[in-house]
Amino acid sequence: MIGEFEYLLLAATRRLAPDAYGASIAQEIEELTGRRCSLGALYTTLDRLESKGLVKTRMGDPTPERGGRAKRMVTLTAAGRRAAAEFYSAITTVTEGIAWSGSI
Amino acid sequence: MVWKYLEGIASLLEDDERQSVLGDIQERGTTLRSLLDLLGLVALRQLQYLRRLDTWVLAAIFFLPTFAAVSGVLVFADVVALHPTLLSLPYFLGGELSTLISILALSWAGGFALTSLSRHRAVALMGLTCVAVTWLQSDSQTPAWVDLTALFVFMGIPGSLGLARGRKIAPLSPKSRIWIVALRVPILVLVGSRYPLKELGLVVAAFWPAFYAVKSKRTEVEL
Repeated sequence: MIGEFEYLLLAATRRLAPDAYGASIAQEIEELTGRRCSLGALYTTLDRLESKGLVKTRMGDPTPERGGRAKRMVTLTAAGRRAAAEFYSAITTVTEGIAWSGSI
Repeated sequence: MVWKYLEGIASLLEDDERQSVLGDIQERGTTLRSLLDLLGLVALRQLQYLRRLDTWVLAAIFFLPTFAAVSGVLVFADVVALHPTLLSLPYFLGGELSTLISILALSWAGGFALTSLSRHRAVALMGLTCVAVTWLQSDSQTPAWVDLTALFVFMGIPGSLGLARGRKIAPLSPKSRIWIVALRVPILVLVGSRYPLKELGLVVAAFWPAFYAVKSKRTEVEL
């Protein structure tokens, strides 16, 4: 099963499709979770997901706002969708009936 | 100013990744945090290269003989600077000339093979470290600037030309890569052996760049 950060990355990629790339994914994760997303963690996790066949990446066209530099575009694969769905299902199953709020 | 540092650090990344990472940083805004992020990513990548077997195979094939080549250049610099009278024409033609030719050839061919076999900057950094360590540990009698000039002329220039040539034609086909490694190993064994095999090794080493030039030209056409 995938890890938590891998799930966040897959979910952000799905939400941003078809315009998911490094900076946009990092921003999406930071905005939605309030957690810092470092480039090192992002790119190494992307590599791992790609080697597992859960995402596909390709170099996009250069854009002026990036100083003429290309984006690394990310696309979710069918296997990636399945892995994210399994993770979500597992999380919801193990959380069922548990109330995290309130005192212990 | 910060951008210059960022570009310098990012030069340790592979081309595509450098482009996308610098673009991402420019888009999100340049801050101290982005500098730290980039440093973290570069450190992770370099560590990943060091965990790969092919990095160490390359290091063994290319940088062990570099110790010998650097030592050769330093000895030559000592002779020239401290005992110029020893550098008579017969003496030079008798020994030093063939050594210098082989060092020039090996430096060029090493640079060529390095970039045509691997684009990993970690390997290039290991090469520079190797040269620096050999120089610092040597018992060279000459001033540092003489050593550095000799290293630059006899290894830096031909090595850089070889690097540029290799970079131009990379990536080589797997067959060409096997050829390069297969040829390099016996040459280095010969060069490191005793007379008369050493002389044979030096001759082969001197002609090796010619083989590369022909081989790479053909590959360039194919590409």
